[in-house]
Formats: sequence, C-alpha cells, structure tokens
Amino acid sequence: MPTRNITPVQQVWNYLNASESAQWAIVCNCAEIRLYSRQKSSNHVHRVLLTELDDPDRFTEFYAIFHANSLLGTGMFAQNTGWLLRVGANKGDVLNCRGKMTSLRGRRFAWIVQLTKGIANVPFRRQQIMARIEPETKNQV
Amino acid sequence: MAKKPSPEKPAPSSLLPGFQHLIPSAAAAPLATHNRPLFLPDLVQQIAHNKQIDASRREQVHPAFRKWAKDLKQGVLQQLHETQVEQDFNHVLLRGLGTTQSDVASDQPWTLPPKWNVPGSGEVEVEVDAALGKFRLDESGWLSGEPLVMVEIKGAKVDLDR
Repeated sequence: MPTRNITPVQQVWNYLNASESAQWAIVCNCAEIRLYSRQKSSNHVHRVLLTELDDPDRFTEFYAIFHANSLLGTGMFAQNTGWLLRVGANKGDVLNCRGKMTSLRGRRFAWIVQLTKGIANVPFRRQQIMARIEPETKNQV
Repeated sequence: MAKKPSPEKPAPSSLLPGFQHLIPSAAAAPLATHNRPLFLPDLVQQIAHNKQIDASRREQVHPAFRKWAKDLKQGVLQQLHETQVEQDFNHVLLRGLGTTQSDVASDQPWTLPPKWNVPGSGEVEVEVDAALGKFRLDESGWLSGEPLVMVEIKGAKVDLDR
C-alpha cells in the first residue's frame, strides 16, 4: 500500500478499507483529531481541535466519543459512538424527509396562489397541460 | 446601522518564522466545504451527559489533555519528532481514554497492541501507528484479535488534507 503522495486522511482510509473488522479511523496531527466511520464517506468527519480540550464542556464531549469503551462498544456505555451514528442516521433521514415534505408543501402552495391569480401567471408549459386536461374533464362530466 | 469592524488577525504567513505556533488555529486549517459532521450535535450533547460515564475518572484524566493543549499553544509539541509525539499520544492520551496495553493480566484481553499490520498491496504489510480492538495472545504465543479502530498519528506540522 503506497503511502507517498497521499494525504494522511487517505492513508488512514486505506488502512480502514484493508481491514475487514475495522469500523472507525482516527487521524491526528497533535493539533486536531478526526474520526471517520466506515459506514459513511470520507466527507463525514467528527473533528476536535485539541487546543479546545482545556474547556471542560468540550472535553466531556470528546471523552464520551473517543473513550475506548465508547468506540469499541464495550463496558457499560449503552449510548456509545456506534449508537450516535445509528440514531443520527435515522434522525437525519427523518429530518431530511421532513425538509423535503416542507419544500413540496411550499411549492404546492405557491402553485395554488399562482392559479388563484389567474392562468396568465402560470408558465406556458403548464398552460398547455391544463388546456389539454380541461376538455377531457368537460367530456367526462 | 454601521457595521462593527471585526478585530484584525495577522495572517500566519506574515509572522516571523518560528512564531506561527502562537496562533492556536495555525496548525488546524479550516475544513473543506464539502465536509459534513459525522454526528448530529444534539446527540453529541446527549451522549456527553450520559450517566453511565464515570465522571470522576474523566476528571482524573483531564489534566493530561489540558497539558497537551497547553503544550500545543506554547509550541512545545511543534518541536517534537513524529515518533516522540506518537509515543506520548499512545501512552498518555489513548491510555487516558481507557485503552489497555499488553501489561494487563495475562488472561485478560487488551485493547491497544504495540503495533498492528494491515495487508497492503501485494505481499507487503503496512504497520499502522495504533489499532484499537480486542487482542490477546493465542496458544502459540502469537498476537491475535480484531482491530475496530485504525489510528494514524502525524507530527504537528503535517496538514491532514495535503
């Protein structure tokens, strides 16, 4: 596995991909520590700046994620790093779905507003479609 | 309303050589825009305040990390060679994070072996800086186990994205 001309991030991803059992990759340059998951792409990263670890709150978060029991899913940590990823994925899907629904609702509302203002405001392509539908509806009645 | 002028920060390149470390963020360049958070922030908050975490143990190891942060701000770590940093990282930080090494009782598995080989291209094996998992010596005395976390440690001057 050549390690020249590749970034440290690519290097650790090569190790992750070469091992069947490995699930996580950590890369650190003293100033920052990054965590990657095999279940996500290399664009998804949890990054901690080590200069921030003198802050108790930041350290509490860091400790909960990077503790061996949390990463390895051992000990008493039911809410471990794997849980964070699983629940996050489900919640992320729901949020994504909600976002899409909201966007669809918004577009539908805008379309109704356009219709109430009059057909002139509707784009030409839609006018063509509606003109085609209207006679068919009249025939059915 | 007039916009409040932001305080001017000197660019790291404009500082005298050897003094870049005085800017805490100089070694940690901003992430590329295509990067996304691995975890949802509210879940990170939730896990941080998990009652199952031993808070007293966490407070015990915090000084080691505070010292690391202080050394980083003072430019001490920037002077160290990658091998020295690797040793400190393994023995101080990873141990503080609950990893166990081969000095535990012989019948107990440990989580941080001294070195771990991963298959490379062809028949060449590559040694990772550290691997976390469950390891033990098998009946013939060989190290066996399954790594779950691959760790790569670089010197303070190395940009992780270049």
